[in-house]
Amino acid sequence: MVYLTFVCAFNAIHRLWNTELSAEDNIETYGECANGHGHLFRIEITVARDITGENPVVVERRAIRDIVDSVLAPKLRHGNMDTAFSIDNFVSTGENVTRAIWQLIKCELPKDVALVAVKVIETPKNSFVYCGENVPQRASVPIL
Amino acid sequence: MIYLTRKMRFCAAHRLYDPSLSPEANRDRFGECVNLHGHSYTLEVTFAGKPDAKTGMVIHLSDLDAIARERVVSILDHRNLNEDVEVFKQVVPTIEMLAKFVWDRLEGAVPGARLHHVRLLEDDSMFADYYGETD
Repeated sequence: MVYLTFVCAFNAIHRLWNTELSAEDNIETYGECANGHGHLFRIEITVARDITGENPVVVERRAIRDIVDSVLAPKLRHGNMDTAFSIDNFVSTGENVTRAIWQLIKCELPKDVALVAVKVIETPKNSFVYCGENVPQRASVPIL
Repeated sequence: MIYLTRKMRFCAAHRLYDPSLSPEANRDRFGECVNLHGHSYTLEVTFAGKPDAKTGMVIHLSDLDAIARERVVSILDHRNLNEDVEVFKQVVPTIEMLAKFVWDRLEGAVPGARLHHVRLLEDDSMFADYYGETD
């Protein structure tokens, strides 16, 4: 198995706000993150494929670029993380954004290419990784 | 399962010196690191957990910061590790042993999240990774 990671980045606004909570509870829970603010969200997409056959690449570069350009970019580039994924009552924590991006791109990949991990780097100090619910052994996920 | 990584920094002085060895043997093993010197360390701690359904968070980052500050950073930052930190009076404070120290201080310390990985960087050229012994 060979692993390949693609990196993209989008400037987007978000605020941490749960519409089911009162304003006071949101401020209590999320602090200053309840205010609208933005990040350069850096996204790392790791895919893998067994390349023992004839095709010497894990995935055609164009396939991933197309997903980034046609699936992610229209929603995220200078976008709003709170509404980008069209999920009701979505709180755009790093955790939830990472899982939402996984869900968005997983079904877009070629059938023989496995999505291994999505990493979202929200700031130089925080990052989040999601590998799906069937957590693989660490040895099989180089980024972990 | 989400893996959340938080990065923090601390500065400390240390020397690599095993008192049970002769000065010559120490210099042979640790080279110029036997001299007291300092580093600006960067610490990355990764916790695994399920985001809370309501808050969308594995742990509030400010809570994580407070735990890490209390249990690790306040003990190491601006200290002479060999003299000021009890465990390193006996244990040579190599980057490896510091990473294990951080693990021992943080494992089980964060409610609702499992410590998964500690990475400690001494500078741009070297870092140690520790995942605990059972993983």
